[in-house]
Amino acid sequence: MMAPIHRDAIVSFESVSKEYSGSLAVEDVSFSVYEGEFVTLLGPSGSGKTTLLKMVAGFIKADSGTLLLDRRNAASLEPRQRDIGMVFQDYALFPHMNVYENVRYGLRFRKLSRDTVRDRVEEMLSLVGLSDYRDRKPNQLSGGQMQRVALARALAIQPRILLMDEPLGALDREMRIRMAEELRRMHERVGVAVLHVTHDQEEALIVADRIGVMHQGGLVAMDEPREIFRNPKSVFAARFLSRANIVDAAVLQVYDSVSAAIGWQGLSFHIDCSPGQPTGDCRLAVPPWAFKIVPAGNPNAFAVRVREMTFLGEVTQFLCETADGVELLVRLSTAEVHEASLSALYLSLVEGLVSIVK
Amino acid sequence: MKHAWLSFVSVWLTRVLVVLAIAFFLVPIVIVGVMSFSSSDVMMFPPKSFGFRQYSSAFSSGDWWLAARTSLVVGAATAVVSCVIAILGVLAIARTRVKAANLVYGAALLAIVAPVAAVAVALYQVLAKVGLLGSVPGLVIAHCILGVPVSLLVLRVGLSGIPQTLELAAMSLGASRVQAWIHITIRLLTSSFGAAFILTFLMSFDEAVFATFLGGAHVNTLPRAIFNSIRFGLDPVITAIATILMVATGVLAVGGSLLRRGR
Repeated sequence: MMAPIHRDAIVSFESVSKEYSGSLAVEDVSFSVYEGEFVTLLGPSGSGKTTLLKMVAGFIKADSGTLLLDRRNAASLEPRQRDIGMVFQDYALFPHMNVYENVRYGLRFRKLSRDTVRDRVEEMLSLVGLSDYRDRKPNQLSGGQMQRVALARALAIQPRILLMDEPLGALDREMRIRMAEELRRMHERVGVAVLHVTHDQEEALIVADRIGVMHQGGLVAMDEPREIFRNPKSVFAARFLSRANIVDAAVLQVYDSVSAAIGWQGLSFHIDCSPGQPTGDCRLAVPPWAFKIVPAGNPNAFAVRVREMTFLGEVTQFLCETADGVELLVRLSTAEVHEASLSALYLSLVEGLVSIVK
Repeated sequence: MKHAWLSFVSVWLTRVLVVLAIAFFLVPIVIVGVMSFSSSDVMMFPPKSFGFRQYSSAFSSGDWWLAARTSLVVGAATAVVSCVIAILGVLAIARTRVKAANLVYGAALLAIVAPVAAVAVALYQVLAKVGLLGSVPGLVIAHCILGVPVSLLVLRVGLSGIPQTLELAAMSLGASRVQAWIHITIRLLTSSFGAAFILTFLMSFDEAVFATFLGGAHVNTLPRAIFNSIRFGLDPVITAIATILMVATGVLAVGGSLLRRGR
């Protein structure tokens, strides 16, 4: 994945805050969406992600901080001056217009020739595979089809940025995943910058180039999917993304300010760390899949007692307790579990999956 | 066994009550309807002989036609003015941050429950002062006091069924706020407008108190003409007029409630 640094920022939040009746809905958020990039804001409901989206659309104004659209201050721009396409959770298709008229609606405000308009609408309808449905009214379409019309309508105006507010939230799981994969492919073809909001992790992982995790109005982590799972940085992101165990450990030594020696459960191992990491007490995020079963007597192992066991198909989930009473959520492949003795379980860590969190 | 007997009684009791309740509402209407087909020149029930005499004298009388025309004009004007005021009010309440809009809404609803005769007395003073007493515009203003709240109620219910995201979507696509209202919201309120129009029209068409108090010498509406005709004698023509009115009103009212349910 390319570093986005040398691309143009389409949207930039700079220390943006927004207060609703005394409580902060958005607190000091800074990030950018770069040209051609698909950015997903992931978080529980009420975490402020939709508020950020509505700020870009111009439906809400920030109390403080700056929002740049195409490097211009957006504060004084009306929604219609912003060159945005927006897909709403309830699709917001105009019920009195058919599919063709819905897709055409945004083009009536642009000075385009009749032929250009027709070609653009046809192009969008074929992009989303609904050319045969042009005369249908929204109430004659399925949820997935309405979703596609909403997307075609938003893309028809060739926006600088596409905003998507829980676009797949009303679909059932199977349909949601299929649509997410379709969205990913469509984005690769169209290449428009996207800011997308969801509470569904699976959806985020399928579509996003970068994922930002929102918590209580703050952006607690933002990175490429694999990287954000490997190094969630904050306790909330670690718990929210992977139900990681947050455990107390000690930084024994820091090398060249990029890696650290960690002591935990009588083990010592090296992991990456950020510059300026002090030695002493720290907290580690250990995802449930960062464990493996090892034979007794292995010097890199620690013993646990199994308190609960849940069979989840491919994996089996354990609630374990270490000798000093630390509770751990552990997921092991069912194949591995099948051959192990569960009365005395010895675990070791996959060190690359463990990170220091604040 | 005992239960079966009880439920038999309760079922029949319910049926009898339903029939009585319907009769209570409909018998006077039916009696007038039957009387309108009498061929006698005095009112009586049941009529001795039947014919279309009342209808032919109603249709041949210039006074009744004039009254009907006045009622239609006042009713239509009331309906149009009420709907225009109401849509602006409803948009102000539901789609802007003008807090006073809710106060205006409350005041409008209060106007419906205020005693009509009292309002008429008050209006008499005001209209006399501005020189609108006894004029069609004066009566339209009076009827709008009743018509605007009715339209407000109907349009507000209609608007609550239209998600605001539709307007936001239109605005994100390049529409101004007013364009979004015109292209989307008001267009989707068409059936609510139809219902509000019919209800306010009927309200005005049926209204006798304001028409009598404020109509002066020249503005003679149908309800007022009916009152006058029974005040000075019992011309059986009014049975025909009443029947025509009831049929027309019934058709409009049914049409209105169908529209309100969204066709």
